[in-house]
Amino acid sequence: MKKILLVPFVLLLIFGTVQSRNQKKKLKPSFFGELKAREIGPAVMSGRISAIDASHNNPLLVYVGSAGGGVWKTKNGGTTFKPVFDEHVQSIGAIAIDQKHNDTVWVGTGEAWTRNSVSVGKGVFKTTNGGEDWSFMGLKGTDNIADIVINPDNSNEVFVAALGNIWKSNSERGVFKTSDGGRTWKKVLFVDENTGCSDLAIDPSNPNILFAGMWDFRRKPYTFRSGGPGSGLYKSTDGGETWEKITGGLPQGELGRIAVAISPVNTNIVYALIEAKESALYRSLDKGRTWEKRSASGIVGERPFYFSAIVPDPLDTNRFYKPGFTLYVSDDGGYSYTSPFVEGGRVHSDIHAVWVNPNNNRHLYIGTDGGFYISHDQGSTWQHAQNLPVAQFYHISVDNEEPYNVYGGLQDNGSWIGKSQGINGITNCDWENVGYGDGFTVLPDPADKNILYWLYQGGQLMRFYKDTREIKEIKPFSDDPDVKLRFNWDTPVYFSPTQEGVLYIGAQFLYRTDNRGDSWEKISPDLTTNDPEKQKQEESGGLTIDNSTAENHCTIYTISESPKDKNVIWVGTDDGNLQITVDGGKTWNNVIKNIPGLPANTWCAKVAAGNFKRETAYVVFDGHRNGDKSVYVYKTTDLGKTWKSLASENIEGYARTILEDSVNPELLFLGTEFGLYISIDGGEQWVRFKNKVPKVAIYEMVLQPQTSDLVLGTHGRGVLIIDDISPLRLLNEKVLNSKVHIFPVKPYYISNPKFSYGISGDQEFFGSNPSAAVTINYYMKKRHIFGDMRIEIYNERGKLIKTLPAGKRKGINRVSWYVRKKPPKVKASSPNLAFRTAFGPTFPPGKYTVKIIEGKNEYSAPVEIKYPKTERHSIADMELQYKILNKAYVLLEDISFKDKQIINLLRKIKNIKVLSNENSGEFMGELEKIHKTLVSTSPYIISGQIRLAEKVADVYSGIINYLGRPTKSQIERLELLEKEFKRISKETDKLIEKKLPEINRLLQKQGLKTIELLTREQYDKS
Amino acid sequence: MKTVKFIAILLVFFSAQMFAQSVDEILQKHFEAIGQKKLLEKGQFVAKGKVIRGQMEIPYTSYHKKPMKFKSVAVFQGMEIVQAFDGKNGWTINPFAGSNKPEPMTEEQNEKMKIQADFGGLFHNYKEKGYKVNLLGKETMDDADVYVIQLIRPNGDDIKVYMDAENYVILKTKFKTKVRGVEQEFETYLSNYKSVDGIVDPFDIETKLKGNTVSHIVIDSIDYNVDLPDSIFVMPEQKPEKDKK
Repeated sequence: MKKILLVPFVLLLIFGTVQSRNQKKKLKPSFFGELKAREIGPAVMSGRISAIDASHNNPLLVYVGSAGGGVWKTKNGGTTFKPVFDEHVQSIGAIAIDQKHNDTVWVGTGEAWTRNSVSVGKGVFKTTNGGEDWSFMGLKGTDNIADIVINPDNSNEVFVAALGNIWKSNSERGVFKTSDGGRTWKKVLFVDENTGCSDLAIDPSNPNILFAGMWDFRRKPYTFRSGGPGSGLYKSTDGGETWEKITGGLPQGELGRIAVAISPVNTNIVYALIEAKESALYRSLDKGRTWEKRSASGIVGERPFYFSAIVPDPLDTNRFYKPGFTLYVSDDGGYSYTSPFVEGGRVHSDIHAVWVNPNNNRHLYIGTDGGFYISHDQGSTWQHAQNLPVAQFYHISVDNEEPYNVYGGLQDNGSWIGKSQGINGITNCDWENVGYGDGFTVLPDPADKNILYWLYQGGQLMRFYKDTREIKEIKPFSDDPDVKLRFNWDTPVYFSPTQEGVLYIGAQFLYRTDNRGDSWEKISPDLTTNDPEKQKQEESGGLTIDNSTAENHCTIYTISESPKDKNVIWVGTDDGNLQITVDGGKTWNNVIKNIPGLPANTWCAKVAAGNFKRETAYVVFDGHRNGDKSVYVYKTTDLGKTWKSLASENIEGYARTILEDSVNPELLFLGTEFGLYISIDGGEQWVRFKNKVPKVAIYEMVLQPQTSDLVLGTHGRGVLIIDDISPLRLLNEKVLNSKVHIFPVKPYYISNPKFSYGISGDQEFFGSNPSAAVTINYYMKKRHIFGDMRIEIYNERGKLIKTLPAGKRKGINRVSWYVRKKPPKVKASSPNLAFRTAFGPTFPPGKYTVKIIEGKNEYSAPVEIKYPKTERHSIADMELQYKILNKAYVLLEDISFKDKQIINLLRKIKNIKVLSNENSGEFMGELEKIHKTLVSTSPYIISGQIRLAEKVADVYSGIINYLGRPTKSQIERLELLEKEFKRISKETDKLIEKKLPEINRLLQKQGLKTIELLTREQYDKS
Repeated sequence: MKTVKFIAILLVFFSAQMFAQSVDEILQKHFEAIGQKKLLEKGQFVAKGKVIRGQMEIPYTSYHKKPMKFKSVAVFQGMEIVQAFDGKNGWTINPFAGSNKPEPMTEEQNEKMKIQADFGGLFHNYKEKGYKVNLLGKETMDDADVYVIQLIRPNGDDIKVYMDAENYVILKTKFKTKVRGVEQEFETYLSNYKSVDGIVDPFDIETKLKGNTVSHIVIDSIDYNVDLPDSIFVMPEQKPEKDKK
């Protein structure tokens, strides 16, 4: 019998183990709890704005669409903005406000300015409540949307100009129409699989008339073609149901990108900007029947893929705006062009979007590569909205300063250094420009704080001296006159993690320097496929040749040296090679063939050598430029012989970059085009991190070693920092199954409060600082609802010194303990004293204990409070500050007690009817007099009434903000005031001792209860 | 044609199934869970605790009386900040605004006080109060089910209540209101529910604006056995200042 019993028991054991192994907890976003990103900008140079629309009735209501940072709404014409599209794809192609119902707004995703770095959209979205909620309305496969037009007479009828996939043929492109508010769509104009719609215009006087510019184009990783047989200008007169190609008066032969616009003043007038062998501006005065070439100037032909737009003036039929490298305006129907800038014009180049107030044509908004601008004088002068943090970083790095700095380069906005924390937050002043052009990698020299390296497009590497702002060009040159170096648009530059001062740069060869770029050693052969067909950049651009290095190909794109072995170097190329050397560059091995499931020639976006083993590496491939949006993430543990895919279906991609934690090899971070993903089990499960990280493209991530901050370089939302990710390192199965799990608490260094004025208005960008408190991190399996839950802090002697409310959510909770005592207990009658005594002194350095009390359970962890590491103050000075400050603290409380004792006594005497002026009046008068010497009795804020308490508070508040030695004057002053108080106190006691018994005797005689003096114990309890 | 009708009926049936519990049924369970009946029987209480704003911790006492009387007294460094509502009018004393004298509240502040002072809670007799209440559906909050109930006040205040579907207590509210004409949304998290005399109340109330905590109220005690005179809720009369000559 026993045996039988035993068998099931054993089975249960075995089964139990198997089951528990299989029951691995599914990672969920809720686990991250309070862990969230903070935004540090930059906003000073903002980023590329791709679309703008504003309300006709209320021109201060504006929706601004950015190339990679989502949609921003302002209700006050740009003073403040709110991001309203964070949970959706951040690349915006078109925005249309329903002018009949301003709460309805349509957004077409996927930018239409088809540069090499353009992102990908996911269809059309609509809000009906002013941007609070968005519904997906379909057309997912359109990828990039150039325009959305709403029938002004029928809000349910909407047209979408879909460019389609930029990188490959697809049929979801052309003009789409809905007649039921987006529920169903009909493709009403389709030319072929390579031709999309680049612009739409609807006739406001007869919405059945529409014009569509159709564009035949294709981008490849190594070339761009604008123009083909599919391009043409089309017109519909039946509400888009049928279309006719317009040929009369327009150029023959292959056409390129076409923009079209109808004058709202006289709808017979139609403008068309047509890219052709000779690009020109055409005008029709008869609704598109006949056309006249008005200009073929260079201005109208500027970079059509980037600037093709015409914006007619709402009041003047002859005036229209033409975006380009700068903003142009024509006042004669397109015959001649000038700049609208007269008294101003300090506007970023590359204009993409223009909006003119239909009721006041002096009021304009424009969107540029450097943000959003406002003009109130018809374009003469401009105001920059320096509050849109939509910067597009290619790369970022950090240094080891305290607080650390962030470095990075931006699309068309050069290279920058920013602070990870400012005085009381991060403002535009905390970002400093260090380089021009398009910015990419920026690296601080680990050995010299005065030097950093930055580059502009195509490998133009610079050494920069911060003090003098001198720049030395240090790029390598080819040692063979017949061999041209090929540098990627975004050339990789990389510091060796093991050899101080060793810097790598990749062309088709890998170069290394150990003398800050004064000379370079070529340490590889051509590591690319060197395919001559992919090196014809001089022919790139199609009808308008455009060779800016953006299409440079067959180049090295990513470099990584093993932190465990300087001879192991990995190189990934844009044409799909993955190369490794294990002998410091003597021999190289292309291991791309060992990677399973990876299509040939897929761009290697990131290779990262493992932090823990020389044999380990991670690699990410990005195939979107080949029209392949799959996620490719792999890991090797044998120097590239075999690879395991870490991709999972829930990752929305394509992927761009990967980072292995520096402490826990199971903790991985993956940056994709649509946000951040985290794995705590080595890549088996991934979960999107949503907390204040929008669905933005993550181009690079770094971990700051001292703070364990995860710093994200996004291509559209600047830099985002997730402060102290160390709890994630410990988030294992056991922790996830704990009711409450407290993580180790980092030591806290006492710091002084910081002062700064906040008077720059509400327009300036403001990013928050990391918490200046002790941060208590703990994980909870489930939200706490019933019963008590709190946090208690104990000092070394086991005394409870502070109680804090606890966070109670599921996942990681973060609670701040500002390491301060309660403020001194004072009785203020004016706010002056209240403010000066509002904060208590910092608790002294020492070992403390944090306890989380959850019902009957307790979870505790030690925390150490320390003096800051500073050369300015000795420990003895800081100890003296603590001593003197606390002396003032005690004195303030003593004065307050004495004053309260007097007031209390006065009140009691007044309340006893038998006591008359005769027997107690003099005594009361004396008490009143003392009361008035102790504390100000004026209720006015600026009374100037300084009494003893105010005098002490003056010293107290003077000492509290400075961690070092108080002044001799402060110390002496305090001694004097202490003496003064002792004198008054003694006199008061004497007076009371003399008079109170007399009164009490009187009361006793009458059989009444005697008056008791308020004791200190009673006071402290009150 | 018949099939179409049939499908339509099925749809109705299913959608009704989805919200098998009507909002009133849910509210009934909520009232039972929090001891609403006992609360109304008691008719008044005093709560003591503290308001935490950043590094500041301000002792706080609030007085509540049926049907619509409320007063709170916060003490900052010995100075008292009073907010009160006598059932009709709100008033305040705020020495930090430059005066120790009671000042009447604005109409907008009065409207907020009506919510604060509502002894039985917003859902109590909501129809009589002219509030519209809708069940918006079920959502998950921290991976647990919650009912989302929307309450709209006649002035347009929109309050979404996230009610624990297991225990029928409120875990969160989203309060959308206009502050001097500008729409703002406050999120309040309620926790540390405790029962005192059979009445269940949250002892921890954290309010956030744009994701940042703006106030955190921790209640230390609630006393239902009190006798609060009406007079404490009424604005003390101010003698007009004599003209200085």
